[in-house]
Order: sequence, then C-alpha cells, then structure tokens
Amino acid sequence: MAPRFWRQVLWTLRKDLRVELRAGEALWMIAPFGALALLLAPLAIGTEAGMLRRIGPGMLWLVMLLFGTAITVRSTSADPPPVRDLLRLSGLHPAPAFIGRSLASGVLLCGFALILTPVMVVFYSPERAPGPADWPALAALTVLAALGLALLGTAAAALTAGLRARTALAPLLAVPLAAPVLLAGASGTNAALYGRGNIILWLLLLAGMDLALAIAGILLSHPLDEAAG
Amino acid sequence: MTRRILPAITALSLAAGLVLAAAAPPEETQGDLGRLLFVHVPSVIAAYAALATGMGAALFYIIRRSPAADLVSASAVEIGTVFTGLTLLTGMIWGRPTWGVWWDWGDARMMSTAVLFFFCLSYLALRRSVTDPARRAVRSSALALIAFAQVPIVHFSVQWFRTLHQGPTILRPDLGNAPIDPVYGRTLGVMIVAFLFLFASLLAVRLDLARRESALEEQVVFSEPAGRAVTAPDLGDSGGWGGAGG
Repeated sequence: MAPRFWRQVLWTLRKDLRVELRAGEALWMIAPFGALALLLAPLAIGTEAGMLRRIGPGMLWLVMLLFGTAITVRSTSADPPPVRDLLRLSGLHPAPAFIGRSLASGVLLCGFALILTPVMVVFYSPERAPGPADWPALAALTVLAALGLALLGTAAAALTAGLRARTALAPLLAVPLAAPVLLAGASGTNAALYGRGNIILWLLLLAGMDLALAIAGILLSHPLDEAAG
Repeated sequence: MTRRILPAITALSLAAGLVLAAAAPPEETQGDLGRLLFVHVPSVIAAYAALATGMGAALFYIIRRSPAADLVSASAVEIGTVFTGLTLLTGMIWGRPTWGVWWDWGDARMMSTAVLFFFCLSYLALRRSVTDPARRAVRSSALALIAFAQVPIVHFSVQWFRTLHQGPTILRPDLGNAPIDPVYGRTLGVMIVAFLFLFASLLAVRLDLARRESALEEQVVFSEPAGRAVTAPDLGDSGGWGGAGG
C-alpha cells in the first residue's frame, strides 16, 4: 500500500506542478500581485524608515498568508467534474491526491516566498537582512509554514469546489484557521534574525499543525472527494 | 413535555442568576463592572459547549451519515456563534474601562476567541453557499472536523504569542481552591448552569426550525419545475433598448 500511496502522491504533485507551469497562475499573476501589496502598504501606513524596518518581516508573512491562500485555492487547484471522474477511473485514491495536491501548493508557496523575500528586503530594509547563517532556520520555517498553509488551502479548495462563491469563500474558510502560520512565521523570523524568542518552539508548533492537518486531510479525503461531486 | 419544561427551567435559572448577580456586592477593585463577568464567563462556557456539540455531531454525521446529526451540528454551531459573539462583546465592554482600550492586541484569549468567531462565520457562510442538502452536510461536517484538529493549535499559537488576559479562575485543576469569593462563586455557578440550559433550549428551538426548513427544502425539490413560476420580464413594446428602437 505504502509504495502505491507515495507513487500516487508523486504523480499528483507532478501533475499539479505541470499544470501550474503551463497556466502560470500562481507565479505569474498572484506573485506579482503580492509584491505590489508590499510596495503599496507603506503608502497607506507611512513611509517612516524606522517603522518600515521593524514591520518588514511581519508584512512579508501577512502577504504570504493572504496571497498564499489565493495560490492554494487557484483555479487549477480543483479539477472540474469530468477530470475528477477520469482520475477516479484511473484508480487515483483521494488520500494521496490530497497530499500530492497539498505538496504541489507547498512548493509553489516556497517559490512565492523566494520571490517576495528580496522584494521585502529592498522596499523595507529590515534591521538585519537574512544572511547565510540564518538560511537553514528561515528555510525550515518557510517550508513548514508553506506546507501548513497548503494543507489548509487544499482542504478549503475541496470544500468549495464547484461553488459559485468559491473565490471569496475558500479564503474565508482557510485564513482564520491559518493564524498560526502568521504568528509562527513572524515570531520565528524575529527569533532567527534578532534572537527574540525561541525559534524551535515555533518550528515545533508548525510541525504539529502540519501533522494534525495531514492526518485530518487523509481521514476526511473520502468525504471531501465525495462532496466535490 | 420537554418543550415546556426546558424553557421553564431556563427562565427560572436565569431569573435566579440575575437576582443573585444584582444582590452580590460590588467587586473590590472593579466595582459594579465586575458583574459583567456573570454574563461573560457563562457565555464563553456556553459557546464552548455549543461548538463541542456541533463538532461531535459533525463527527457522528461523517461516520453514520445521519441527516439529524447534520441538523444538530449546524444548529449548535449557529448558537455557538451567537455565544462567541456575546463573549467578545462583553469582553470588549469590560476591557474598555479596565484596560483603557476596546481591543487589546496583547490579550491572547481575545484573539483566539475572535479567530473562533470568524471560523464560525465561515462555517455558516459555507452552509449558505451549498444548496444540495447531502453535499452541504458533508462539506460542513468536514470543515467542522478540520477546525477541530486546528483550533487547539490556533489557541496555543496565540497563547505563546503573548498574553495579558488573567489566568483561568474557574476552569482549573484545583477547582476547590479557586481564587473567587464564595458569593461570586455561587452566582457565577448559577449563571453558568442557566446559560447551559439556555443553550439547550435554543438548540431545541433551532433544531425544530431546522427540521421544518429541511422538510420545506424537500417540498421545493419535488414541486413543480421553476418554469411555471417564472415569467418573462416586461421590456416594453419595442424590446431591444426601447425608445427609438423597433
């Protein structure tokens, strides 16, 4: 069962990434929009350099959460009914499909973070820009946060598949429950860059969140698949 | 029988609680403002009871596919939303004179309660968006169970972020040694019981309404096609853009 499960996970991951590569919705449309949000925010809250230095990393995580949710519920993240029927007939199980789809969104979210981080450093000049010594901790934080957001977004996309209000409803379902991503991301970055707080605590929280959501997603994959039609 | 007894017990216990709350002496440091806790604390306990009922019923629905469980889940979450809103409202009214602000960003419990409130709103929004009863039941039950896995993590994340709210006074392991005046303790106890009865009464009424809504939905589904009820809009004699057109 296990090799078959992971084969299906990898197959779904590759399929979703290939579709995204061709559609370009996440990295060519949503990512520039997120960068634009980072550019426009100081125009609304003030351009005082000291304040921008302090809020830069937090703004990055806020944009990651809000625009990242849009990536996880992008139009290509839920298959139309004929494609779903075809995948079922091909023997694709809902549980590996859920995990594979979440991993694909997680990869896209990591790419999104890679694009946004230099944008934030340029626009906000944080008190201390991330250096090579910070990369392992920040990479672990980003990967775990991206995975958590991806799992929540994939579940929200499945819950709203085929609904007329999908684009507004899916983020509403995912964002309240994604509050730990924002808190752990912003607090973990502060811990990694400035030594304020314990980053291990936030990494453990994100890992716990990912595990709980993955288990819930696997257990509920059948009902989610069934509800999608 | 239950339909009459439950509201009567609720009314009696609420009346007893309100009399005790009015008769209790002003709180030593907060004065009369302290009486707000007789509504704030029971509201949050009733909200927890309602949301736990909703999530339990959602789990039962996913396992047994009982439509009745879905109605219990939806009704309980709806009532839980009201109690959660009341908790936030009374907390803010209490916080303004006590902390000097309506909303304190340093208070972890206010933030996690607000997140819970928004989750409840999203649950209700999802239910409103799905017209097919079976799909609505599956989707909303799945959402409730995902939230069940996630809410404790939201709670801990906010708690670790920062906290200003006082520690638990009632819900603590050494309940017998709770740091609360006996008069306040008794009043609070009666109000908590009254609010739990209020939740049960509201649930019974909402459930009855939900059953009627469900029956009506079935009637609509099996009634005449909409074609007969829909008439073409009257665009005038000319049709098109009106006026000079013809």
